[in-house]
Parts: sequence; C-alpha cells; structure tokens
Amino acid sequence: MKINGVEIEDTYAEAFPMRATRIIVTAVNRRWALNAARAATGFATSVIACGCEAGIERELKPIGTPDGRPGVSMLLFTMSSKEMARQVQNRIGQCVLTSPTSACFAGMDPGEGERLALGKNLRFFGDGYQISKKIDGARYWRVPVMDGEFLCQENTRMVRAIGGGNFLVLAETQKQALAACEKAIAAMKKIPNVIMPFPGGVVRSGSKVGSKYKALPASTNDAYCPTLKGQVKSALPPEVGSVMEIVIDGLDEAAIRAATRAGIRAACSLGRRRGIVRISAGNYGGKLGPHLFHLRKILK
Amino acid sequence: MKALTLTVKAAPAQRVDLAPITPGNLRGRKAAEIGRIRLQSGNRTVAVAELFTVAAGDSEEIVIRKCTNKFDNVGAGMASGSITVHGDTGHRTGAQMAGGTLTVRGGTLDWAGTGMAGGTLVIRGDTGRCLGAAWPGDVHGMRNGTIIVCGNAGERVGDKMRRGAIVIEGNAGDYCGARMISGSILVCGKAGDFIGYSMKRGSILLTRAPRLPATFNDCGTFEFGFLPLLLRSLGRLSRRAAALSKRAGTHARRYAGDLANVGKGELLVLR
Repeated sequence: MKINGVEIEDTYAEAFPMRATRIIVTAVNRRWALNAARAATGFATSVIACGCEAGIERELKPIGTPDGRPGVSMLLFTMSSKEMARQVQNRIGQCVLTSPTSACFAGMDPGEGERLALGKNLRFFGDGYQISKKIDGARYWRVPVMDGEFLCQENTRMVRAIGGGNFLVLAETQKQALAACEKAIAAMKKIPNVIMPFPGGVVRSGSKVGSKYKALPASTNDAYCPTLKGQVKSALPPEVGSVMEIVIDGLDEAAIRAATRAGIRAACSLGRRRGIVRISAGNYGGKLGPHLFHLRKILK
Repeated sequence: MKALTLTVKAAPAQRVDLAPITPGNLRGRKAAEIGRIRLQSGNRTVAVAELFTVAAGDSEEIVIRKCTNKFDNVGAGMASGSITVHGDTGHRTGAQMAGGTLTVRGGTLDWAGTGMAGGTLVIRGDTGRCLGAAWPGDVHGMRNGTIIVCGNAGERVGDKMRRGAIVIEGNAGDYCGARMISGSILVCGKAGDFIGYSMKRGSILLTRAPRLPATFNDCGTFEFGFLPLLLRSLGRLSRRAAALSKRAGTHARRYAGDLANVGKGELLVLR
C-alpha cells in the first residue's frame, strides 16, 4: 500500500489500557488559560517516569466553557486509578490553583466512568474559609486566594482509555521527518478525544520493551536507530536517515484510529519526492498491550 | 396522555389537608378510587369527591383548578411528577417535597417549602412567612431543591436553610436568611431588616444594598467566578434571574457575617 509514493508498512501499532480524565481550565483570557493548562500538562510525556501522560486537547471559546470565559480542555492518562487521583491533585493543586484568575471544571459527562476527586481535597487550602456551592447537582468549591477566589468543581469522572497508539515516520533526513511530523500533528490536533503527549507531539526516542540493563523496563529502539544500521538487525532500508514517532493517547479506539488516519495522510502529503520513505508502527509482538491498530486497515 | 385534573366544586369552609394528593400516592389509581380518598378537614375527614370533580388522566401530571388558600399541604411530600395549581394554596405548600415540580399559579400562605429536600417549587404570586424555613422542632429548613417566588415573600425566608436555592423576584420581608446554615437566596427586589441575622454560612444575593446589620463587615467588591454558573442555573426557572444573569457581571460587593455567629456567610450585592 502506498500514499503519494510513501509505503505504508503492513504492521500494527500496539497500545495498552489506561485511565483517562478530561479537565477544563478557564481564565480571564486565552493566554492565562493556556498558562495554567501548559503548566498542568507539563512533564507528562510518558508514564515511564512522569506518572501520567497529559496534553491540551483543544482550546475552548467562552461559549463552550462552564463559566463563559476562555478555556482549555486537557486530557490526562495514567496506568491506574490511584495514580490518576494523585496526579490530578498534584497537578491541579500546583499548576491551576496557583495560576492567576484560573477556574477548574470537570470535562466529562456525569454518567461516564467513575468519580474522581478534583477540588474535593484542594478545598482544604481554603483553611476553613472555603465555600461550597451546589449548582445543577454538581458541587463547586470557592477557595479564597490572593487574587480573589479559585473556583473548582468537586469531582470529575475517570474513564477507561487507551494509551500508546503510534506510528513511525521514516524519512531520508531528520529535517524531512520533522516536517512530515509537524504536518501530521497539525492535522491530528483537530481530532477530539486524543492527545499526543510528547514535546510538540513528536518523539524521537522511540523505545523497545526491556533492556540489557535489568533496572530499565524500556530502552532505545535500536532496530529503528539509523546510526546503528550497520551494527544491529536494523528495520531500516538504506535510504532512511531519520525516524520519528507520534504517540497517541485516546479515550477510545475510534478516536485513536481517526487520529492515526489523519496523521498518516498529512505526513504522506509531502510524498516520496520530499524524502518520506515509509510509515511504520511500534509493533512489539504482543508484549505491550491488547489494542492493535493495523495501519493498512485504518487507511482503507 | 392528558393530566389528572381535580377541580374544586366549592371553596371549603374548614381547612383541608391535601397531602395525599401527590403523583406518587395516586399512581395506578382510577378516578373513582381517587374520589374515595379521605382528606383531613378540621376534626373530621371528607372524601376527595365531595370537594373536587375528578377527571381521569396521567397521575404523574396533576392539575388542581379553582384552588383556594383553604387547602394546606398541597404537594407536600411529593417526590416525582408535577402538580400545577390554578389559584392560591394554603400553608405548608410543597412541605417536605423530595422531587418533581410544583407550580402554584397564585399565591400561598406561610411555610411553603418547609423541610423541602428536592424538586422545584414555583409560586407565581406572593408567599407568606417562613418560606423554606425550619418547621418548629426541625433542625434544618429546606435541605435541597429550588424555590422560585415571582411575587413577594414574607418574613424569615430560608430560616435555618441547609442547602438549595431560593429566588424571590419581588421583595423579601425581615429576617431573610436568618440562622441560615448554607445554600443560596437571591432577592431581586428589596430585602427587609435583620437580613442574614445569625447566619452561619450560605450566600444571600441582593440587587441593591440592604440595611446592613452591625454584625456584617464589608470585604469590598470582587469578581466571583461562581456567579455566572449560579445565575444561569436559576435563570432557567426565573425570568428575573435570567435577566440578571445577562445583565450582572461577575462582580459583587461582599459583606461577611453574621460575625455574632460563625460568620462565614455572606451578603453579595450584585453590581
């Protein structure tokens, strides 16, 4: 299968179950909503060492937010419910509560998944001066802070989700691989219910499961490292000089499929003539997780 | 399916307890059965059929026509469905309500919504004293739900109120929000004296500065993020609240009190 002369490898991306939640942050203007959201989703590229994978799903216009101010929708993914509770409390407490003019709301429907504390514990920052307001069945906390009040919904919802959807862009040069990935990310950002948690959505250090060092659960994907082509059993053809990966976390399989489709098509739009050689995926032979995303099926 | 309709034949001379007439209590009963239900009236009981003409219909949607303020406990204890009253009602309208919607197209006497735990009570006219207040011996007033009064309310609105929201589109009498424990009261008109007397927590929202009790302190004017949410929610039931939701910003002047009690309540004067 080829798109614009770019080969789509007959392989699949392997993804694993995660827990996810959506949180909406609003502020006096777009800039401050983004400041809060960027801080809250910072250092959240991989669960390997960050505790969670998080990112900005989309920006929201005032008409689309609970308090009628500009906002940002964030998605957070973790490996367990317990870790999610810890991450949400720490990230909202340290990055949103602290951000001027911010407010924080549940971004999921009340009937979805299971309950997850949002402002439930953060309210104690109010030292007894916090005020509860129950509006339309949802409880909100008004926590007095130095710029006025921090408004935070008591709970949000957490659902079962999928992490680790991915595809690899194999190009002749680093510059070409990056250009294709940038195009892909621009297209994928339009898809709801997904995030691409790595910096700018792109990861250059794709990993394989395991390592020669016993302490490490993952290590560099040597088969895709171009500088090791003559040293290891490489998966790269001679003309490939750079590989980049786009990792996708999504609320469901359909969202990951849609994002993968949009991303690959956008990456392939540059075509073979601009150095894009092949699209592949992180296939770990069933070691990583039960969700398989076959590239050719998705692109049919 | 059309509504189950009870039309008052003639205004009763004695007060009548209408508590048995709720959607839950009438569910599955035929018109003749409903007509045989005994209602307490003074020291005797009377059959529904003696006082009302009963037209069969969906018991989840009850309409009471030509009602007068001789009928107490209208919609008391209802937990689902709707009751629409054409005319006035007596005391304890919607008392102990747990759910559903009770709409009175006229006015009510005292103690409407006392002990209310859920649902929506709409009074198109005026209401008497102790709206949503604690019945003597009760620890709390209304514990949840929403009350909308399109007219004026008497004294002691929300006395010992624990949760929920009350909107008075007109004026409220003295001791509005007295001994309030929590919840929200919005008074669109004027509020009487001793507002928030001995309140512990909760919010009383006003559109004009009240005669401030000595035990409330001015905190200044600020932006409150919860105001748009609360006003928009109340605006779905109240036209005045809807208008305020559009007109009022998020700014309000905050007076904290009652400092003679716990002092964590507030009077918020919307700008």
